Amino acid sequence: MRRSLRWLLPLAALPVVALLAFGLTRSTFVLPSALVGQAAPDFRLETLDGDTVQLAEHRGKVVLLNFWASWCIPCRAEHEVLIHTTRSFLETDLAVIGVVYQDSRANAITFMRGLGGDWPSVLDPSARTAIDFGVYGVPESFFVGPDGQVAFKHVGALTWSLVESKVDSLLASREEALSHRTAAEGS
Amino acid sequence: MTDTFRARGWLAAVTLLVLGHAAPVLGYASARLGDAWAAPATAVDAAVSPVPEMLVQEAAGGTTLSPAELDDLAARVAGELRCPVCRNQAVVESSAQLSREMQALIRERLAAGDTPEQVKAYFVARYGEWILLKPEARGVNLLVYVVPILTFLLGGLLVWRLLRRWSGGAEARLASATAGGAPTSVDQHPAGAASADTARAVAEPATRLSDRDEAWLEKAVSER
Repeated sequence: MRRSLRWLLPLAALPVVALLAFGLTRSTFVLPSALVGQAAPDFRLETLDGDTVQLAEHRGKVVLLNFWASWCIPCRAEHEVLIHTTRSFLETDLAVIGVVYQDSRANAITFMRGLGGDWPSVLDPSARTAIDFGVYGVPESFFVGPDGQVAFKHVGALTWSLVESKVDSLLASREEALSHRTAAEGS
Repeated sequence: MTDTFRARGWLAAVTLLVLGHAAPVLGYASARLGDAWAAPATAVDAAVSPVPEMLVQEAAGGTTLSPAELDDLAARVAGELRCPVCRNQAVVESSAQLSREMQALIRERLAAGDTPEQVKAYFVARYGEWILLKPEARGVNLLVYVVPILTFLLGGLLVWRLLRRWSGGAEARLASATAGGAPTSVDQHPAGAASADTARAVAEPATRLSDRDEAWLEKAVSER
C-alpha cells in the first residue's frame, strides 16, 4: 500500500469521529429555541381569578413568563424562587405572569393557594399559547424585554441566581434605553 | 506482519468504514421502502410521503376540502413534524397531549386556508428547524445528505483499488512462477549478498504456493 494511502483512511475517519464526538457529547436536554431575539407572541387569556391578562399591555416592562402545572414536580421546586422574585423586584418594572399548562383551573388554584404567590396565572386552553411560544414541557420560562422581544428562555426549574442576573440585566437595559430617549428628546 | 496480513487488515478497516457510512443510507432507504410497501395506507404511512402540491394549491386557494381530505392532509403535515415531548416520533404517531393539540392546530390552520408549507413554517418559527423530522436540504443541512454518499463512493473506490492491486500482485507472481525464474527480490534485498540466505528464507514463503494454488496454476498453464 502506498504511503499516501496509509494516511488517507485515518484522515477520512477523522471527520466522522469529530462528528460523533460533537453529536454524542451534546446534552439532549438543551433544547433549541427559535424565539430568542424575536417578538414574543401576544396573548389575551383569562386568569385563575377570572380577570384577563394581555401580554402586549406589559410593553415597556420586563416580563417573566413562566409555564407551569400543578402536576409538575420541578414547578413546585421553583415556586419558591418565583415568590422571592416578586418580593425582591417589587418596586421595579418586572411583571411575573404564570401560564397554566395542560392543567385544570381547580388544580391550579389549589396549587397557588397552597404554595402562595400573588402574581397572575392565566389558563391556556388547548395549549395554543404554549405552542405559540414553542414550549416542550414544564417548567419553561421566557424573559421578555421591554421591547417585547424574547431575550432568554430557560428550560427546567428556575434558580434565584439565574432570575436575578437576567432580570437585572433587562432592567438595566430598560433604564439605559429610557435615558437615551430622554436625552434625545432634550436635545 | 506480512504484506498479505497488512493488506487484509486494511481491507477489513475499509469495509467497516464503508459499511458504517452505508448503514444510515441503507437504513433510510429501507425505511422508505417499507413505508411504500405497507398496505393499507394509514395516516402514519401517508405522513412520510410528501404532500401533493395539487391539494396544497386547492387548500391555499380557499377550495373547501372534504373532512376526509382535510384529515389526510393534516396527517401528512403532522407526519413531517417532530413531537416536542417525545424522542424522534412524529406528531401524528404520538399520543402525547401536546401532539394532539398540535394536530388539532394543524387541521385548523389548513381548514383556514394555510398551505402545508405555511403550517410547517409556523412551527419552525417557534420550535426551530428541529421540529422538522426531515431537515430541508439546504445550507449546512446538505452535509447530512451529501457526506454519506460521498464517503460511500470514496470507500468503494478505495476497496476497488485495493482489490485491483491484489489481483495485479497475484498476476505478477503467476507470471514469475510460470517463467520459472527465481524472484528477483532476493537478489535486490537491502541486506545484501552477505545475508542472502536470511533474505531468501524471508522471501521464500511468499513464493511458495499452496497445493490449491499450485493445482490452479497447473491448470492455467496447461490451458495457455
